[in-house]
Amino acid sequence: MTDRPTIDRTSHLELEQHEKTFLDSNELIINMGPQHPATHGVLRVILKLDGEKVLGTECVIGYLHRGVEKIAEHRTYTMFNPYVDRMDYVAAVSNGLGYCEAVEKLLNVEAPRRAQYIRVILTELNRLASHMLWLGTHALDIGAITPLFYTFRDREEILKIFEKYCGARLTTHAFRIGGCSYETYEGFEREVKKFLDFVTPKIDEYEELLTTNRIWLERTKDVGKISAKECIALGVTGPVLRASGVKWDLRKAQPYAAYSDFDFDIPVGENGDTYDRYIVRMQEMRQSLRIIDQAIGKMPDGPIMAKVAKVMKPPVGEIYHSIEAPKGELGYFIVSDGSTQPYRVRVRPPSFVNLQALDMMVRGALVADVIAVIGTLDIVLGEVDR
Amino acid sequence: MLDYITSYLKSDTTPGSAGNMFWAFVYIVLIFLGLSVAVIAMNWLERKILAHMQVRLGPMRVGPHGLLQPIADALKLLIKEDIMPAEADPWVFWMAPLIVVITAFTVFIVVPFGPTHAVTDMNIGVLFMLGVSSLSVLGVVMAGWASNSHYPLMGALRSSAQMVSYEIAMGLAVISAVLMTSLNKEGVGTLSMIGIVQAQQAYERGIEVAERRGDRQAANEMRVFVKRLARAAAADQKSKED
Amino acid sequence: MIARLRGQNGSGLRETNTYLGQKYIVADSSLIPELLQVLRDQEQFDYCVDITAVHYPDREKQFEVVWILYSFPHNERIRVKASYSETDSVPSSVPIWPAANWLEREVFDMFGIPFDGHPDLKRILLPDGWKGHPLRKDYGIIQQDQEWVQINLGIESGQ
Repeated sequence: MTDRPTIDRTSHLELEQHEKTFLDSNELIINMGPQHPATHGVLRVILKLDGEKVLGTECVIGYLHRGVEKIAEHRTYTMFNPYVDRMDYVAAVSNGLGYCEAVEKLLNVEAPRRAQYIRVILTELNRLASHMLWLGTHALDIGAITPLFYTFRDREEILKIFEKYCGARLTTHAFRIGGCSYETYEGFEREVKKFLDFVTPKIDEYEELLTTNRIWLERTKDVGKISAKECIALGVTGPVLRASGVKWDLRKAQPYAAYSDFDFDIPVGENGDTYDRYIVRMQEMRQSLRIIDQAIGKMPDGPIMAKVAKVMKPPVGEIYHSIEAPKGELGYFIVSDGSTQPYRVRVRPPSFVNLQALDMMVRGALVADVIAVIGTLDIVLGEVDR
Repeated sequence: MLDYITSYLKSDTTPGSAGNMFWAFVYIVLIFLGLSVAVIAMNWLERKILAHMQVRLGPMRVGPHGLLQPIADALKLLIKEDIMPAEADPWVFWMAPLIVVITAFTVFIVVPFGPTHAVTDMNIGVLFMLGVSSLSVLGVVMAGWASNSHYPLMGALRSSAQMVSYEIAMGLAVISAVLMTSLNKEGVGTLSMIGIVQAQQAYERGIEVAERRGDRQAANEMRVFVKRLARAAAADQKSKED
Repeated sequence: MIARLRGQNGSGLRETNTYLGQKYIVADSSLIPELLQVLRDQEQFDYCVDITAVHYPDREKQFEVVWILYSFPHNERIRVKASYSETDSVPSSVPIWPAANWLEREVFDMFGIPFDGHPDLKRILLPDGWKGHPLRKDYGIIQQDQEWVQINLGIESGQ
């Protein structure tokens, strides 16, 4: 290995300067490297510690950068659709929903009612799956090993439904521009209803394990507090913002894809600490169940694909469309120059902007709290790096 | 020959107090074997029970239901290469696990398995137990420091903080048992482990007297108290073994 | 609101329009820092959703930097666009919205547009020593910084 230039990454952190004596070495720079079991993906966090107290952090990202935005400029709109799933690979269906809706807006096409209902059902199932994965891995990082097994076992049922619908469990490519390409399979409603009955007591089980658990409370109360003003200033969205007290959800504020037909609540927390984020996400899971229940009940008949040209050439213009992904506000900014390939696709990733808040949330906390906060921000590196 | 053995089983002093090296050695070997078997069993139990709580099976292949798994693990560890990091201090690094294990086993010298069946009965038995078990923290810190690297150091500091915080609660629990030993006729307490066991027997006699007098409630209360004392003492030993 | 902004800035605002229901403002690059400050303070656009850029190599001012802002009280989104040439540097919005920190770093990384007044402007997604700015139109789709790859990874080429 040849010499690598040493880069001082921490010079910008405003840290207390002691008078330098030769015994003065109580600041420790530790690298939570890209390979780490508790940083959900390849994330590198450089910690400057005073014993166990964190004085400052810096995140180094980009280990999973695949150049998705550059690829988009060399693919047609339909060809780019599968790439979009791979960004937030945990909630692939939401990514697809955002992209398809953005391009549909550009083309001035609206998906038919039945397609919108199918989209809502699959997206909410995916929200459930994403939150279950979040719960399992977050609890695992904090030390509670059991919820991981329980949530993954229940997540299997959701993935089975996805597999029956579109053939893939994780990167589903479920939607097409203009609607859905697959009709719901025989027995879809029955299976989803069975799943709803199956999973409601399971969510109660997770709550029973963790919500009033003394150890969980000690590990998560008052850890990683962020106030509403700081959230808004840092651009943090999603359950993190809602746990800080701001009652804002894109599904209610700027409804898209038939969400205005359904009746559901937005859970809001008070303190903005890790425990509140946990409660908000658990409540969101229950609200998702409500939405799926209503959607299955009211599913209209009709076509599932709107009339869209085979070769799509949206008129010159640009559009920004965002949806409420399980992690936050996922936005697509698409610039079209009238040809079959987009001129620029910009994905506004919620995890990327949420991860900025890590430094602020963790100053003055202990090392163990860094892990808890990374888990509670619910980042997926595929989305952070694209 | 048989009489020789049984005469010692009926003796009224412990081998250590009697100065009998042979029997003390026998007791030590028995304790060592017993503890090892207990640790092996606990290892298997932990893996199986945790696995079943987590909707999975645990070790199933090695022996019926994984019963030979701990032995397989022990064999594997024994034949592994000892890795010494280049920057580490070799002697301290090698000594650290020795200290932890030695202190954990040494504590069992004073633990009685019968009215006179301990390796030795010091009259400062409890103090000896608490003191020697605290030495294991030293072993952990030595391991962290000798590795000459940030991450083991942080881990060792956290581990030692955890062990030290256990000792406070443990000491308080033990002291409550010691306080009760002063409730005998002379009004003099003792720190010796056999003395604590005998003080427990005072409770049993007290329970008998209460039953004879027909005082059910006092008898039940005393019985519960004795059970809780026994449980607290057992918990101390387990936490030191881990 | 548009009328207010127009009244204040007059000719600086080149165009304010609505396309497909989304409002946008095309402004002069000299107007940008005050315009963004006014938008946050008076018009209550307190949430900076995104900062991005588009590269138009055929235009005289090649880069068009786009700020997408959202206002919680009004539940309204707006896009502010301004054009910059290759040698211009854009005033940083970090003093206005701290969210802009990483967003501007990414624009710098991908396009090479420097931001004035950014506290820590360095590459974020690509390695620190990488040369080239991938999202520009003159950067090939499978092009890589071969020198960096050879020095740091020890292989001939990333392809």
